[in-house]
Amino acid sequence: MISNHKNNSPIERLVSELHKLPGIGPKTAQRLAYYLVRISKDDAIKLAESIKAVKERIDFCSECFDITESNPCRICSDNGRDKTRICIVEEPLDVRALEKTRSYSGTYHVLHGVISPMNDIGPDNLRIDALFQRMKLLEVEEIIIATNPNVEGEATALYIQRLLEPFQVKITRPARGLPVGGDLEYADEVTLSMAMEGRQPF
Amino acid sequence: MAKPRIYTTSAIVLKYRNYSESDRFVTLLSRKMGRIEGFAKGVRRSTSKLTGHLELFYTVRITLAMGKNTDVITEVQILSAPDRINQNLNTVSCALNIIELALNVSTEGTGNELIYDLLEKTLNKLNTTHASNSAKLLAYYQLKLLSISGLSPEFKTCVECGNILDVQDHLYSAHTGGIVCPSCAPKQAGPLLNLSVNTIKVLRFLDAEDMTKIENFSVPKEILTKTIETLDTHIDYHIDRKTRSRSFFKAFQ
Repeated sequence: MISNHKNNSPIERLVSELHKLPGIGPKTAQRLAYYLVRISKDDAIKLAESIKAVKERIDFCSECFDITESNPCRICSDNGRDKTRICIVEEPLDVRALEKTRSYSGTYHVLHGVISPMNDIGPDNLRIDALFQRMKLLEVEEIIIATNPNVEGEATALYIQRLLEPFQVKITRPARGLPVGGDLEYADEVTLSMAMEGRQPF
Repeated sequence: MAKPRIYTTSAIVLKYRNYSESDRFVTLLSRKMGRIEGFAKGVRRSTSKLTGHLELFYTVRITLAMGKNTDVITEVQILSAPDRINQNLNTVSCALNIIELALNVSTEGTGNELIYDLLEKTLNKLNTTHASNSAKLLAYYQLKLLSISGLSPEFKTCVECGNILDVQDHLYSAHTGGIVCPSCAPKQAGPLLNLSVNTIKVLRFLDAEDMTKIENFSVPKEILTKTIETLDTHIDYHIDRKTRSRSFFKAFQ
Protein backbone atom coordinates (compact mmCIF):
# COMPACT_ATOMS: atom_id res chain seq x y z
CA MET A 1 0.00 0.00 0.00
CA ILE A 2 1.25 3.49 -0.77
CA SER A 3 0.98 5.72 2.24
CA ASN A 4 1.82 9.36 2.50
CA HIS A 5 3.96 8.98 5.57
CA LYS A 6 7.51 7.78 5.19
CA ASN A 7 7.74 4.04 5.53
CA ASN A 8 10.98 2.17 5.61
CA SER A 9 9.77 -1.37 5.08
CA PRO A 10 11.59 -2.79 1.99
CA ILE A 11 8.40 -3.81 0.21
CA GLU A 12 6.84 -0.36 0.63
CA ARG A 13 10.04 1.23 -0.65
CA LEU A 14 10.02 -1.05 -3.68
CA VAL A 15 6.38 -0.22 -4.41
CA SER A 16 7.05 3.50 -4.26
CA GLU A 17 10.14 3.16 -6.51
CA LEU A 18 8.21 1.13 -9.11
CA HIS A 19 5.40 3.67 -8.97
CA LYS A 20 7.83 6.29 -10.31
CA LEU A 21 8.20 4.41 -13.63
CA PRO A 22 6.20 5.66 -16.64
CA GLY A 23 2.83 3.96 -17.05
CA ILE A 24 2.99 2.26 -13.65
CA GLY A 25 0.12 3.14 -11.36
CA PRO A 26 -0.11 2.30 -7.65
CA LYS A 27 -1.89 -1.03 -8.22
CA THR A 28 0.54 -2.20 -10.92
CA ALA A 29 3.44 -1.14 -8.69
CA GLN A 30 2.06 -3.33 -5.89
CA ARG A 31 1.52 -6.25 -8.24
CA LEU A 32 5.09 -6.01 -9.59
CA ALA A 33 6.55 -5.67 -6.10
CA TYR A 34 4.75 -8.76 -4.82
CA TYR A 35 5.79 -10.62 -7.97
CA LEU A 36 9.41 -9.70 -7.26
CA VAL A 37 9.03 -11.04 -3.71
CA ARG A 38 8.01 -14.40 -5.13
CA ILE A 39 10.69 -14.84 -7.84
CA SER A 40 14.02 -16.54 -7.14
CA LYS A 41 16.82 -14.54 -5.56
CA ASP A 42 19.00 -15.03 -8.69
CA ASP A 43 16.41 -13.52 -11.00
CA ALA A 44 15.83 -10.58 -8.69
CA ILE A 45 19.56 -9.88 -8.42
CA LYS A 46 19.94 -10.15 -12.21
CA LEU A 47 17.26 -7.47 -12.61
CA ALA A 48 18.83 -5.24 -9.97
CA GLU A 49 22.28 -5.61 -11.51
CA SER A 50 21.10 -4.92 -15.03
CA ILE A 51 19.49 -1.68 -13.85
CA LYS A 52 22.71 -0.77 -12.04
CA ALA A 53 24.81 -1.62 -15.12
CA VAL A 54 22.65 0.57 -17.35
CA LYS A 55 23.18 3.53 -15.07
CA GLU A 56 26.89 2.92 -14.58
CA ARG A 57 28.00 1.86 -18.02
CA ILE A 58 25.61 3.50 -20.48
CA ASP A 59 26.41 7.04 -21.50
CA PHE A 60 25.82 9.40 -24.40
CA CYS A 61 28.34 9.27 -27.26
CA SER A 62 30.30 12.55 -27.24
CA GLU A 63 30.01 12.78 -31.04
CA CYS A 64 26.55 11.64 -32.07
CA PHE A 65 24.76 11.61 -28.66
CA ASP A 66 23.45 8.13 -29.22
CA ILE A 67 23.22 5.87 -26.18
CA THR A 68 26.41 3.85 -25.90
CA GLU A 69 28.55 1.68 -23.67
CA SER A 70 31.83 2.99 -25.05
CA ASN A 71 32.65 6.56 -25.93
CA PRO A 72 32.73 7.29 -28.89
CA CYS A 73 30.02 4.82 -29.81
CA ARG A 74 30.39 1.75 -32.01
CA ILE A 75 29.19 3.60 -35.11
CA CYS A 76 31.30 6.74 -34.61
CA SER A 77 34.49 4.73 -33.93
CA ASP A 78 33.99 2.41 -36.91
CA ASN A 79 36.45 3.42 -39.65
CA GLY A 80 34.36 1.61 -42.25
CA ARG A 81 31.49 4.08 -41.84
CA ASP A 82 31.16 7.00 -44.19
CA LYS A 83 32.01 10.03 -42.02
CA THR A 84 31.02 12.51 -44.72
CA ARG A 85 27.34 11.71 -44.19
CA ILE A 86 25.39 12.56 -41.04
CA CYS A 87 21.83 11.42 -40.55
CA ILE A 88 19.94 13.55 -38.02
CA VAL A 89 17.31 11.67 -36.00
CA GLU A 90 15.02 12.55 -33.10
CA GLU A 91 15.63 9.65 -30.70
CA PRO A 92 18.16 6.84 -30.14
CA LEU A 93 15.44 4.35 -31.13
CA ASP A 94 15.42 5.90 -34.61
CA VAL A 95 19.10 4.96 -34.95
CA ARG A 96 18.19 1.34 -34.09
CA ALA A 97 15.41 1.39 -36.72
CA LEU A 98 17.69 2.78 -39.44
CA GLU A 99 20.50 0.40 -38.52
CA LYS A 100 18.14 -2.54 -38.96
CA THR A 101 17.70 -1.61 -42.62
CA ARG A 102 21.47 -2.07 -43.27
CA SER A 103 21.16 0.34 -46.17
CA TYR A 104 22.87 3.32 -44.57
CA SER A 105 26.59 3.38 -43.92
CA GLY A 106 27.08 6.95 -42.68
CA THR A 107 27.03 8.32 -39.15
CA TYR A 108 24.20 9.72 -37.03
CA HIS A 109 23.35 12.65 -34.85
CA VAL A 110 20.66 12.24 -32.19
CA LEU A 111 18.75 15.41 -31.25
CA HIS A 112 17.01 13.87 -28.20
CA GLY A 113 13.68 15.46 -28.98
CA VAL A 114 11.97 17.67 -31.46
CA ILE A 115 10.97 21.34 -31.51
CA SER A 116 7.51 21.42 -29.95
CA PRO A 117 6.48 25.02 -29.25
CA MET A 118 3.13 24.02 -27.72
CA ASN A 119 4.98 21.91 -25.14
CA ASP A 120 7.61 24.58 -24.46
CA ILE A 121 10.39 22.62 -26.18
CA GLY A 122 12.52 24.96 -28.25
CA PRO A 123 15.73 24.53 -30.26
CA ASP A 124 17.80 25.19 -27.12
CA ASN A 125 16.50 22.00 -25.53
CA LEU A 126 17.91 19.87 -28.36
CA ARG A 127 21.46 18.85 -29.25
CA ILE A 128 21.66 21.18 -32.22
CA ASP A 129 24.71 23.21 -31.16
CA ALA A 130 26.78 20.03 -30.88
CA LEU A 131 25.94 19.27 -34.51
CA PHE A 132 27.51 22.53 -35.62
CA GLN A 133 30.63 21.90 -33.58
CA ARG A 134 30.85 18.58 -35.37
CA MET A 135 30.28 20.16 -38.79
CA LYS A 136 33.19 22.55 -38.23
CA LEU A 137 35.61 19.72 -37.47
CA LEU A 138 34.57 17.24 -40.14
CA GLU A 139 34.32 17.50 -43.89
CA VAL A 140 30.64 16.72 -44.26
CA GLU A 141 29.16 16.28 -47.73
CA GLU A 142 25.59 15.35 -46.93
CA ILE A 143 23.18 15.90 -44.08
CA ILE A 144 20.11 13.68 -44.03
CA ILE A 145 17.39 15.18 -41.85
CA ALA A 146 15.40 12.10 -40.80
CA THR A 147 13.04 13.71 -38.29
CA ASN A 148 9.50 12.33 -38.24
CA PRO A 149 7.27 13.45 -41.12
CA ASN A 150 4.82 15.36 -38.91
CA VAL A 151 4.43 19.07 -38.12
CA GLU A 152 6.98 19.12 -35.31
CA GLY A 153 9.49 17.02 -37.23
CA GLU A 154 9.09 19.24 -40.29
CA ALA A 155 9.52 22.40 -38.21
CA THR A 156 12.71 20.97 -36.70
CA ALA A 157 13.96 20.02 -40.17
CA LEU A 158 13.27 23.51 -41.50
CA TYR A 159 15.01 25.06 -38.51
CA ILE A 160 18.12 22.92 -39.01
CA GLN A 161 18.07 23.56 -42.75
CA ARG A 162 18.06 27.30 -42.10
CA LEU A 163 21.00 27.03 -39.71
CA LEU A 164 22.95 24.83 -42.12
CA GLU A 165 22.75 27.31 -45.00
CA PRO A 166 26.24 28.84 -44.38
CA PHE A 167 27.89 25.40 -44.55
CA GLN A 168 26.82 24.88 -48.18
CA VAL A 169 26.32 21.19 -47.64
CA LYS A 170 23.92 18.90 -49.48
CA ILE A 171 20.76 18.52 -47.37
CA THR A 172 18.36 15.66 -48.01
CA ARG A 173 15.24 14.18 -46.40
CA PRO A 174 14.11 10.55 -46.60
CA ALA A 175 11.51 9.86 -49.30
CA ARG A 176 7.84 9.70 -48.38
CA GLY A 177 5.48 7.18 -49.87
CA LEU A 178 3.46 4.05 -49.38
CA PRO A 179 4.34 1.63 -46.59
CA VAL A 180 5.12 -1.98 -47.53
CA GLY A 181 2.13 -4.11 -46.62
CA GLY A 182 -0.19 -1.09 -46.58
CA ASP A 183 -3.32 -0.53 -48.60
CA LEU A 184 -3.42 2.15 -51.30
CA GLU A 185 -7.08 2.68 -50.51
CA TYR A 186 -6.31 3.67 -46.93
CA ALA A 187 -3.33 5.92 -47.66
CA ASP A 188 -3.93 9.58 -46.92
CA GLU A 189 -4.01 12.11 -49.77
CA VAL A 190 -0.75 13.84 -48.82
CA THR A 191 1.28 10.64 -48.67
CA LEU A 192 -0.31 9.36 -51.85
CA SER A 193 0.45 12.55 -53.77
CA MET A 194 4.05 12.47 -52.54
CA ALA A 195 4.31 8.82 -53.56
CA MET A 196 3.10 9.72 -57.04
CA GLU A 197 5.49 12.67 -57.31
CA GLY A 198 8.44 10.55 -56.21
CA ARG A 199 7.70 7.51 -58.39
CA GLN A 200 10.65 5.56 -59.76
CA PRO A 201 11.27 3.90 -63.15
CA PHE A 202 10.13 0.27 -62.92
CA MET B 1 -29.15 16.17 -25.88
CA ALA B 2 -27.12 13.13 -24.96
CA LYS B 3 -24.21 12.26 -27.20
CA PRO B 4 -24.98 9.29 -29.50
CA ARG B 5 -22.90 6.13 -29.17
CA ILE B 6 -21.31 6.68 -32.57
CA TYR B 7 -21.10 10.15 -34.03
CA THR B 8 -19.56 11.84 -37.06
CA THR B 9 -18.45 15.44 -37.21
CA SER B 10 -16.12 17.72 -39.12
CA ALA B 11 -13.21 18.89 -37.00
CA ILE B 12 -9.78 20.52 -37.09
CA VAL B 13 -6.80 18.80 -35.46
CA LEU B 14 -5.35 21.05 -32.75
CA LYS B 15 -3.07 18.86 -30.71
CA TYR B 16 -1.96 15.31 -30.10
CA ARG B 17 -0.21 13.47 -27.37
CA ASN B 18 1.53 10.15 -27.83
CA TYR B 19 0.34 7.37 -25.61
CA SER B 20 1.59 3.83 -25.06
CA GLU B 21 3.47 2.10 -27.88
CA SER B 22 1.65 3.29 -30.96
CA ASP B 23 -1.43 5.22 -29.83
CA ARG B 24 -2.26 8.86 -29.60
CA PHE B 25 -4.80 11.13 -27.93
CA VAL B 26 -5.93 13.71 -30.45
CA THR B 27 -7.61 17.01 -29.53
CA LEU B 28 -9.84 18.48 -32.21
CA LEU B 29 -12.09 21.47 -32.62
CA SER B 30 -15.43 20.33 -33.96
CA ARG B 31 -18.08 22.44 -35.55
CA LYS B 32 -21.03 21.44 -33.38
CA MET B 33 -19.50 19.99 -30.22
CA GLY B 34 -16.62 22.32 -29.46
CA ARG B 35 -13.36 20.77 -28.36
CA ILE B 36 -13.30 16.98 -28.46
CA GLU B 37 -10.65 14.46 -27.54
CA GLY B 38 -10.37 11.16 -29.34
CA PHE B 39 -8.22 8.09 -28.86
CA ALA B 40 -6.45 7.04 -32.06
CA LYS B 41 -5.39 3.46 -31.58
CA GLY B 42 -2.31 2.29 -33.47
CA VAL B 43 -2.06 5.57 -35.39
CA ARG B 44 1.74 5.73 -35.10
CA ARG B 45 2.19 2.47 -36.99
CA SER B 46 2.93 3.14 -40.65
CA THR B 47 0.29 0.66 -41.83
CA SER B 48 -2.58 1.96 -39.70
CA LYS B 49 -5.53 3.28 -41.70
CA LEU B 50 -5.55 6.38 -39.50
CA THR B 51 -1.88 7.23 -40.18
CA GLY B 52 -1.38 10.54 -41.96
CA HIS B 53 -5.01 11.54 -41.52
CA LEU B 54 -4.69 13.20 -38.13
CA GLU B 55 -1.88 15.70 -38.59
CA LEU B 56 -2.04 19.17 -37.06
CA PHE B 57 -3.98 21.81 -39.07
CA TYR B 58 -5.95 19.19 -41.06
CA THR B 59 -9.71 19.54 -41.38
CA VAL B 60 -11.19 16.07 -41.18
CA ARG B 61 -14.50 14.29 -41.14
CA ILE B 62 -14.18 12.05 -38.15
CA THR B 63 -16.24 9.23 -36.68
CA LEU B 64 -15.93 8.48 -32.99
CA ALA B 65 -17.39 5.71 -30.87
CA MET B 66 -18.18 6.44 -27.27
CA GLY B 67 -15.60 4.87 -24.98
CA LYS B 68 -15.42 4.38 -21.25
CA ASN B 69 -13.31 7.47 -20.58
CA THR B 70 -12.33 8.81 -23.99
CA ASP B 71 -14.13 8.38 -27.30
CA VAL B 72 -12.35 6.16 -29.81
CA ILE B 73 -11.62 7.39 -33.34
CA THR B 74 -12.86 4.77 -35.78
CA GLU B 75 -12.76 6.53 -39.14
CA VAL B 76 -11.16 9.64 -40.58
CA GLN B 77 -11.50 11.31 -43.94
CA ILE B 78 -9.40 14.36 -44.85
CA LEU B 79 -11.47 17.36 -45.93
CA SER B 80 -8.55 19.72 -46.34
CA ALA B 81 -4.84 19.15 -45.74
CA PRO B 82 -3.01 22.48 -45.65
CA ASP B 83 0.33 20.76 -46.13
CA ARG B 84 2.09 23.79 -47.61
CA ILE B 85 2.07 25.38 -44.14
CA ASN B 86 4.74 22.89 -43.06
CA GLN B 87 7.12 23.95 -45.77
CA ASN B 88 8.05 27.29 -44.27
CA LEU B 89 9.09 28.27 -40.74
CA ASN B 90 7.14 31.54 -40.83
CA THR B 91 3.87 29.85 -41.73
CA VAL B 92 4.29 26.82 -39.48
CA SER B 93 5.16 28.93 -36.42
CA CYS B 94 2.20 31.20 -37.19
CA ALA B 95 -0.18 28.24 -37.62
CA LEU B 96 0.96 26.71 -34.33
CA ASN B 97 0.20 30.00 -32.59
CA ILE B 98 -3.21 30.12 -34.27
CA ILE B 99 -4.29 26.62 -33.25
CA GLU B 100 -3.02 27.12 -29.71
CA LEU B 101 -5.23 30.19 -29.38
CA ALA B 102 -8.20 28.19 -30.69
CA LEU B 103 -7.38 25.51 -28.12
CA ASN B 104 -7.31 28.09 -25.33
CA VAL B 105 -10.63 29.76 -26.12
CA SER B 106 -12.64 26.66 -27.09
CA THR B 107 -14.68 24.67 -24.60
CA GLU B 108 -15.67 21.03 -24.46
CA GLY B 109 -19.21 20.19 -25.41
CA THR B 110 -20.24 23.64 -26.62
CA GLY B 111 -19.68 24.25 -30.30
CA ASN B 112 -19.00 27.68 -31.67
CA GLU B 113 -19.34 27.67 -35.44
CA LEU B 114 -17.82 31.14 -35.74
CA ILE B 115 -14.57 30.05 -34.05
CA TYR B 116 -14.50 26.92 -36.21
CA ASP B 117 -15.12 28.76 -39.49
CA LEU B 118 -12.57 31.44 -38.66
CA LEU B 119 -9.93 28.83 -37.85
CA GLU B 120 -10.60 26.82 -41.00
CA LYS B 121 -10.57 29.91 -43.17
CA THR B 122 -7.37 31.28 -41.62
CA LEU B 123 -5.47 27.99 -41.95
CA ASN B 124 -6.53 27.60 -45.57
CA LYS B 125 -5.47 31.16 -46.31
CA LEU B 126 -2.13 30.58 -44.61
CA ASN B 127 -1.67 27.54 -46.81
CA THR B 128 -2.17 29.44 -50.05
CA THR B 129 -0.75 32.86 -49.30
CA HIS B 130 2.88 33.98 -49.43
CA ALA B 131 4.79 33.32 -46.19
CA SER B 132 5.39 37.05 -45.73
CA ASN B 133 1.65 37.53 -45.05
CA SER B 134 1.62 35.18 -42.06
CA ALA B 135 2.12 37.84 -39.36
CA LYS B 136 -0.72 39.93 -40.83
CA LEU B 137 -2.96 36.88 -40.85
CA LEU B 138 -2.10 36.13 -37.23
CA ALA B 139 -3.03 39.68 -36.16
CA TYR B 140 -6.28 39.41 -38.14
CA TYR B 141 -7.07 36.04 -36.56
CA GLN B 142 -6.33 37.31 -33.05
CA LEU B 143 -8.63 40.31 -33.49
CA LYS B 144 -11.50 38.29 -34.96
CA LEU B 145 -11.14 35.56 -32.34
CA LEU B 146 -11.27 38.16 -29.56
CA SER B 147 -14.33 39.70 -31.17
CA ILE B 148 -16.15 36.33 -31.41
CA SER B 149 -15.26 35.56 -27.80
CA GLY B 150 -16.66 38.91 -26.69
CA LEU B 151 -13.25 40.17 -25.63
CA SER B 152 -12.64 42.64 -28.43
CA PRO B 153 -10.28 45.48 -27.49
CA GLU B 154 -11.64 49.03 -27.90
CA PHE B 155 -9.70 51.23 -30.35
CA LYS B 156 -12.26 53.82 -31.37
CA THR B 157 -13.40 55.47 -28.16
CA CYS B 158 -11.79 55.93 -24.77
CA VAL B 159 -12.74 52.93 -22.59
CA GLU B 160 -12.91 55.17 -19.54
CA CYS B 161 -14.91 58.25 -20.62
CA GLY B 162 -16.36 57.08 -23.94
CA ASN B 163 -15.13 60.09 -25.93
CA ILE B 164 -14.11 59.55 -29.55
CA LEU B 165 -10.33 59.43 -29.78
CA ASP B 166 -8.33 62.08 -31.67
CA VAL B 167 -6.06 60.98 -34.49
CA GLN B 168 -2.81 60.84 -32.53
CA ASP B 169 -0.63 58.49 -30.47
CA HIS B 170 -2.46 56.96 -27.51
CA LEU B 171 -2.03 54.68 -24.52
CA TYR B 172 -3.51 51.19 -24.27
CA SER B 173 -4.52 49.59 -21.00
CA ALA B 174 -5.02 45.81 -20.85
CA HIS B 175 -6.76 46.17 -17.51
CA THR B 176 -9.58 48.31 -18.93
CA GLY B 177 -9.52 46.52 -22.29
CA GLY B 178 -8.66 49.26 -24.76
CA ILE B 179 -7.31 52.72 -25.43
CA VAL B 180 -7.56 55.44 -22.82
CA CYS B 181 -7.56 59.13 -23.80
CA PRO B 182 -4.80 61.44 -22.48
CA SER B 183 -7.06 62.89 -19.77
CA CYS B 184 -8.09 59.46 -18.43
CA ALA B 185 -4.61 57.92 -18.71
CA PRO B 186 -3.21 59.27 -15.39
CA LYS B 187 -6.09 57.61 -13.49
CA GLN B 188 -5.21 54.11 -14.78
CA ALA B 189 -3.98 51.60 -12.24
CA GLY B 190 -2.39 48.98 -14.51
CA PRO B 191 0.57 49.30 -16.88
CA LEU B 192 0.04 51.27 -20.11
CA LEU B 193 1.36 50.54 -23.58
CA ASN B 194 2.30 53.28 -26.05
CA LEU B 195 0.48 52.94 -29.37
CA SER B 196 1.49 55.08 -32.33
CA VAL B 197 -1.25 56.52 -34.51
CA ASN B 198 -0.22 54.10 -37.29
CA THR B 199 -0.52 51.05 -35.04
CA ILE B 200 -4.02 52.16 -34.06
CA LYS B 201 -4.89 52.56 -37.75
CA VAL B 202 -3.64 49.03 -38.50
CA LEU B 203 -5.65 47.59 -35.62
CA ARG B 204 -8.79 49.38 -36.80
CA PHE B 205 -8.26 48.27 -40.39
CA LEU B 206 -7.74 44.60 -39.48
CA ASP B 207 -10.78 44.71 -37.21
CA ALA B 208 -13.06 46.17 -39.86
CA GLU B 209 -11.89 44.43 -43.02
CA ASP B 210 -12.40 41.05 -44.55
CA MET B 211 -9.65 38.44 -44.94
CA THR B 212 -9.47 39.01 -48.70
CA LYS B 213 -8.01 42.49 -48.12
CA ILE B 214 -5.15 41.27 -45.94
CA GLU B 215 -2.81 40.12 -48.71
CA ASN B 216 -2.66 43.48 -50.46
CA PHE B 217 -2.44 45.47 -47.25
CA SER B 218 1.13 46.62 -46.74
CA VAL B 219 2.31 47.36 -43.21
CA PRO B 220 5.85 48.26 -42.10
CA LYS B 221 7.35 45.42 -40.06
CA GLU B 222 7.80 47.39 -36.83
CA ILE B 223 4.16 48.52 -36.83
CA LEU B 224 2.97 44.97 -37.41
CA THR B 225 5.22 43.73 -34.59
CA LYS B 226 3.75 46.37 -32.26
CA THR B 227 0.21 45.44 -33.37
CA ILE B 228 0.80 41.78 -32.51
CA GLU B 229 2.49 42.74 -29.23
CA THR B 230 -0.59 44.80 -28.23
CA LEU B 231 -2.92 41.93 -29.10
CA ASP B 232 -0.69 39.47 -27.22
CA THR B 233 -0.89 41.68 -24.11
CA HIS B 234 -4.67 41.83 -24.46
CA ILE B 235 -4.94 38.05 -24.93
CA ASP B 236 -2.66 37.32 -21.96
CA TYR B 237 -4.71 39.55 -19.69
CA HIS B 238 -8.19 38.49 -20.79
CA ILE B 239 -7.80 34.85 -21.82
CA ASP B 240 -5.36 34.26 -18.98
CA ARG B 241 -3.64 31.24 -20.49
CA LYS B 242 -0.05 31.17 -21.59
CA THR B 243 0.42 30.94 -25.36
CA ARG B 244 3.51 28.75 -25.40
CA SER B 245 4.17 28.79 -29.14
CA ARG B 246 4.41 32.59 -29.21
CA SER B 247 8.18 32.80 -28.64
CA PHE B 248 8.73 30.32 -31.48
CA PHE B 249 6.64 32.49 -33.78
CA LYS B 250 8.54 35.65 -32.77
CA ALA B 251 11.89 33.98 -33.47
CA PHE B 252 11.10 33.64 -37.19
CA GLN B 253 9.48 36.95 -38.03
